[in-house]
Amino acid sequence: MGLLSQGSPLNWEETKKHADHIRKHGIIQFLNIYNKVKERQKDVLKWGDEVEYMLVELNDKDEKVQLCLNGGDVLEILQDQGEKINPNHPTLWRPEYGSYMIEGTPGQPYGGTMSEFNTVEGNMGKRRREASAVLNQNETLCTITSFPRLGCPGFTKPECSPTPVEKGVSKSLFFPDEAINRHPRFSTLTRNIRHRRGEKVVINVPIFKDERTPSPFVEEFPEDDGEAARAALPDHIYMDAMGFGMGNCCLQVTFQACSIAEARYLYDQLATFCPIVMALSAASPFYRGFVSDIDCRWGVISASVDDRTQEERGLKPLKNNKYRIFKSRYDSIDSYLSRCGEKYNDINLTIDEEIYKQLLSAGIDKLLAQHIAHLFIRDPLSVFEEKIHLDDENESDHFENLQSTNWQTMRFKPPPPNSDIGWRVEFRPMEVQLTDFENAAYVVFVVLLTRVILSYKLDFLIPLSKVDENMKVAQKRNAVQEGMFYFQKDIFKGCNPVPDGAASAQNSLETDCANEEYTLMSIDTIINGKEGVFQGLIPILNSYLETMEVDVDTRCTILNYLKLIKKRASGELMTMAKWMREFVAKHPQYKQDSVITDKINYDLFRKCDRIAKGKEQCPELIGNPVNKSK
Amino acid sequence: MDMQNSNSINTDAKMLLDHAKTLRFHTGNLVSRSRLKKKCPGSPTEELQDCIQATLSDWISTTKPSSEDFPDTLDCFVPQETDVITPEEREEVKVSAKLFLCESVQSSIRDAVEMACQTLAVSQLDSVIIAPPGPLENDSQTLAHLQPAWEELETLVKSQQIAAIGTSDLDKDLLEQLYNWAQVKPSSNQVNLASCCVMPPDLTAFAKEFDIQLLTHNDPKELMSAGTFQETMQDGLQDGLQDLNVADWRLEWVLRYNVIVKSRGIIKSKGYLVSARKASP
Repeated sequence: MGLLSQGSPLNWEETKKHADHIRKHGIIQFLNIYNKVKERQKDVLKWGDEVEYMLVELNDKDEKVQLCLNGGDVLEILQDQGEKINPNHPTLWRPEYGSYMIEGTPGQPYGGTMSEFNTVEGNMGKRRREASAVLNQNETLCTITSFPRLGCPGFTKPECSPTPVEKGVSKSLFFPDEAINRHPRFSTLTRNIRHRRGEKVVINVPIFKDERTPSPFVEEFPEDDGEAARAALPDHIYMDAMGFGMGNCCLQVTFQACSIAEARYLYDQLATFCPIVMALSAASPFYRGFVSDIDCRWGVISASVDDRTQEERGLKPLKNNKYRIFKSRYDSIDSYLSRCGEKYNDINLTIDEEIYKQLLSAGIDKLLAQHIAHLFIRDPLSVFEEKIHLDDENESDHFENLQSTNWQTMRFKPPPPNSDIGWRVEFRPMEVQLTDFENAAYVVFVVLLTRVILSYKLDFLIPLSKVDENMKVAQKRNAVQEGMFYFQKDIFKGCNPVPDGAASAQNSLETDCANEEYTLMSIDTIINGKEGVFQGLIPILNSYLETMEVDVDTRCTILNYLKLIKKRASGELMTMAKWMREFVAKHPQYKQDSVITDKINYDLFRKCDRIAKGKEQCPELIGNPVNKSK
Repeated sequence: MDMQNSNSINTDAKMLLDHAKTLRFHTGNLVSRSRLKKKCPGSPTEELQDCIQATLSDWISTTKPSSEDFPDTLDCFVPQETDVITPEEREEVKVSAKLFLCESVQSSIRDAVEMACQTLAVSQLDSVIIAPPGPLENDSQTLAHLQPAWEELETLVKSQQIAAIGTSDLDKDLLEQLYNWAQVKPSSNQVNLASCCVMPPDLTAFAKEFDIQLLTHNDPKELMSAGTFQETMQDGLQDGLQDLNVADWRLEWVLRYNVIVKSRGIIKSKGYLVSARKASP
């Protein structure tokens, strides 16, 4: 979740006073970096995955599963016995939002050779074993996107009560402050989001209406001071804290591009895949002990950190705020960055005009300038007293402050100052999968996709408004089977960047032939292809793999990964979300009332743990991958 | 040579084809596939078919009545489709080739490698994998069958036109026989994609012990049959040239090259060089 500074965090009133200073110097820092490294070329491919884990205790006596709030201690042990004593240690561990979470990455990035695809799953296994080994008995490490009973009474160990009063961090009726990472950055972010917004965050997820689910489904909250009653919608699961979103686990991939131009091209192309891959990875159907009607976490996290005021959300006329802002800080991207993308930038982009002009006059082109000027409409959320006056030539904390709290589907990452790292892009929409096999499969699929896009110079761009529509569809229950997504029909045609000044003329043409370029497709069509409609990504990937020199062992591994993706797309295999739904539906204690009890949750985690540890097969979820016992 | 003058492009192409004894195709870089009918080929055979046709018809439509003489060897390529590797980028790329021999003509190997080097403007290919013509029916592949081609490859390694040589579809016994006999040892052996998850343990162990890389391919036993080649020629010759007799043309060899940007996992180019000769009546 970004860098962690030590020191004294400022509250929202104080932070606000420094906002302009931080933005101003953030831009100077960005320009310094840009001017130093804009000409960087020929960087090699390096990439890495990030997996987020939750620590749980399976209490066999009470048949209950709880989140363990000892992530901080576990992290310290892992770092002490790993990276701190050996700079080449194969794993790296980082803190995450929940005090029951940790994040693991490979110790060194992967490179551009094919055989490295064969080491990803092994490294993930190493991470899982390494962390598991330092846990107490009955504790285990899970890669499950959303803990089904997050925010239910007694969901943590030790059990803690929420603090639904102003002095609390979240002021949540459900989510105790102890479940937030103890590093001050996280509680500061949480409280400052709430204070900036002027009220608690509001998350309403539609409930899945089963046979015996009350209708309308309306909850009462005894400790509520009135805020929850106003915010909660009928037939929805109501949540009121950042932890309900940022306390979920995700799977991310970051790539180093060979140049800034390649990074911008990949950023745009991959943006169109965010909804597709998210739907394929769907793994979070349950919230606060209820079965919901969505399969993906995205909207939940988006709402969980939505710091916009009522004015900014358009509920009140602008008076104290500068802008009407259309999306949360955590949401899909708002503009393409490559010249090919320019003509598809069709959504409302709120920018800081002054910063935009400043960037243009510093020689930044308008696409990049508007991207940065859009990120910088936000206020900084966490500022440390000791970190206000910085050396803009050699530090980038103020730039990173805003950059790292714009949590979009894609992230365009300039190199850190004075490093040998190149321009990077991060792919952020995926839900984490139950097993290392699946996580490796999704990660390798995305990396292969980038290689194919670059090799064949493919063009998947469609208007960004259509990508946003896809994002909405992608989160719905069973979107992978039922959803229809806007997708480019002819990806081989290559792009035609709009020459400067010709944008408006092009736009009128665009509306005429818009329907020709893209059409609605199922995920099966997109992934596996359909005669006369679309070639399918898997056949294109295979064609790439045939041309590359791939050793038999790696090829077998990739074959298994692509088989998983293929079958998830066709419906032959279930997504984690669907599998969890079926598990609950068939559970003897489930009463068709959308309620997930402690016992159901416990049995679910028992089974998940056995599958993740390879003690049990789960062919309906992952098929029968050839186990080469690496 | 009997001179017949004509101003039509088709007639000119026909004349050239009538007189030529050898026909060489260069398909150009297939990475940008815009001119191919099938954007994503179903199989290597389909791909080869598709691009021979495209190259032939492109060539016919751009052939200008130029010279008075009719060369024995006709180079059929579209100028802008060539892919030259500049000296600056040579270090960054790996140039590999797989050579499919359709007939046991010894000079084929040298010709194909020379043509590849020339086409790509490199002095050396980083690796060449050989697929010798299949043995006659009911006959299994033997070392004796492989030896002539391998000796030719060894010569090219010694003259530094190839850096490393490899085989395809050899089982452990044959690979071992070749390894023991050869002066220049095989650096790799390609196996079919279908068997990459069910590798015979003896082959894996042998390859590991002698540092032979086991790679995968997805090529059929016979990349292109004589019949398919003639059909492909016929299809490429449309537009008034259908009456040309294609039955005489025999496929000699096909060389597929790949140019990979090593540190980025990106295909820079891929193409086919094809040689056919006219059988003596």
